[in-house]
Amino acid sequence: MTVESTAPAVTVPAARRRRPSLGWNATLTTGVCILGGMVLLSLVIGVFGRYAATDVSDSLLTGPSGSHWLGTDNLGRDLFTRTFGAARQSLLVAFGATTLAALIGIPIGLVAGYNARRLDAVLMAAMDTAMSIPSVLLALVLVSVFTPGMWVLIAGMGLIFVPYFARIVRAPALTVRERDFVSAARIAGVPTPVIIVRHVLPNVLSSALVQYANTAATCVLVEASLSYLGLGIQPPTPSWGRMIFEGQRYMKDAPLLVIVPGITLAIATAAFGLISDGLQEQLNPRGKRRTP
Amino acid sequence: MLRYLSIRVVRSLAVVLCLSAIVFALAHLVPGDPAALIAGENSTPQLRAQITHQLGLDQPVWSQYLSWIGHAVRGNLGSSLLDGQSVGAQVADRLPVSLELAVYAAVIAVLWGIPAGIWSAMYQGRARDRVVNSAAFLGLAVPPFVVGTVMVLLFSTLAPAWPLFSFVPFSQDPLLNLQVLLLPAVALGIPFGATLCRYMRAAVLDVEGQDFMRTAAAKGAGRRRLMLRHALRNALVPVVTAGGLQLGVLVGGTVIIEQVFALPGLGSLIVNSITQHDFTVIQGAILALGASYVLINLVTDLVYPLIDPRIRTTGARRDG
Repeated sequence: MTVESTAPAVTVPAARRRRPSLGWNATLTTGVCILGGMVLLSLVIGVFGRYAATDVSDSLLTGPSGSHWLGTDNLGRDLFTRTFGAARQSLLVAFGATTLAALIGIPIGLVAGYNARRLDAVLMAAMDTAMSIPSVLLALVLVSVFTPGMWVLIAGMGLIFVPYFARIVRAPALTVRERDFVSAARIAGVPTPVIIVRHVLPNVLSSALVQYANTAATCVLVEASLSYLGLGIQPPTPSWGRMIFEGQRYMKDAPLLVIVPGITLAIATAAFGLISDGLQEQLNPRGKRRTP
Repeated sequence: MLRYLSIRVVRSLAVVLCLSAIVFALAHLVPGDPAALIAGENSTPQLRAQITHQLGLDQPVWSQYLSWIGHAVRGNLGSSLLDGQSVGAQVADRLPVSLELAVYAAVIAVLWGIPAGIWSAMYQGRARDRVVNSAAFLGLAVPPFVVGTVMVLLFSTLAPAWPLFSFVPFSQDPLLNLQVLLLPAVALGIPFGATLCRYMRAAVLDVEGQDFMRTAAAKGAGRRRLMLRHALRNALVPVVTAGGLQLGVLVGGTVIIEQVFALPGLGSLIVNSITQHDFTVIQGAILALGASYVLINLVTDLVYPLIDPRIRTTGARRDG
């Protein structure tokens, strides 16, 4: 990681050297719209839908029809309702876990980056060690001890992804602490916590935002994988991973049971991916080249 | 160089120790008494006390940890709480399957991801670039177990002769073994390759803007020579860094994909043991899988000095 700590020789007016502003571009807009649509749809269907996600009926494994838009599964449950019920679970886990990770990770990264030296070395060594263990393995350890379910997933994945936020925030924090306005604040006697919150935090938020989108996408995938293994969201609560697992047996007769949750899962991950790509595009506009 | 090596080795050891502590601690946080699990619900207190003593559970936690890690280093991971089988033997049986799968997937990923990334960078902004980019994006969005499930569906209907759920060890029939593992390896190799492709594209574009590339072009080097001799070697450094970090995702992926294709690897052992609450097996298997991941990572670290001679002299790693 190259850290540009030397100030440019020619001082540029402060107003023009502001941090890159967060605007919108096509990629970002698409991602936000898809995700927003999915959240809205899952809420609307949860409240106004004709069926509940766990309602069983006598029409088993039917194809798409007027009463069941995407057909039913082996217990006669409505596939459409279940798919969006699963969206609610998945996104709740993703947002919950990622927010938890950000709330813990960002302060750690800020403190490490701002204080530098010894505390930084200790904190970052700990973070690196934690990041060196595959996250799925850590998640498996957690679910093997606690009864799997949504709250265990949120708490567990939230903790697992803390180091990623700490790492991503630390680099810009290191750079910002060398800037003139931070030195000025320090000389003026502003207490360190205030400097960190007022001056350093705003400058690392954009990196943290990109990381938020990436981590949320990973959370969706990890939740689906664990649920597929039977170690995540527990039935009868719907989850994409478990729906795919249960649908596998009837795949030849009712391929929609696997394909629909699979595609929705991919759309959710892709939406987070688009948001992350769009944010990055916005923050590092094309043509930005690093000099050797 | 020696400094670089020793830092890497010490770091890897620290990671394995940390993992062992986590695995050990969590298995001890489990509600319930392992002795009751072994002896059954209706056992006498005396029998339970005896089992507790045999397992060393009446010792202080740190001394239990030391004796566990001491045995683990010598390959003794204890025995299963359920059937008394040696955990070490089970791990030794299954680890090669998982490792072969991971390596196979990594090879597939490198074979398509790296060339695709270079190709897409060479045609930056054109239709080919956009096609490759979208493909890589999709490859990242669809999780391997979905790809695997769909492949099972396709192959079982379109090519019923394809061996799907019948694992054969490499030593028995290498060709059949590679055929059986092809689908799971492709399922895992798609997202890993997509990651490599995206990193490779960014790295090549980054290198292309640098001064020595302009110098080489001014000296009359052709497009091919420019790319292969000057750009690639420099572009590979950040890609190896990123790829090494992503190996963890690959290892995690094997756990799930083994379940999809019913492969007798370490992942399916872990999942089965979790559902059966067999904690000694979970401990041993996760430790073994994590340790082999750290080992693979150490090997990637040793590849660096070969690509980037600067590391050999300074001992510093230039990330990104």
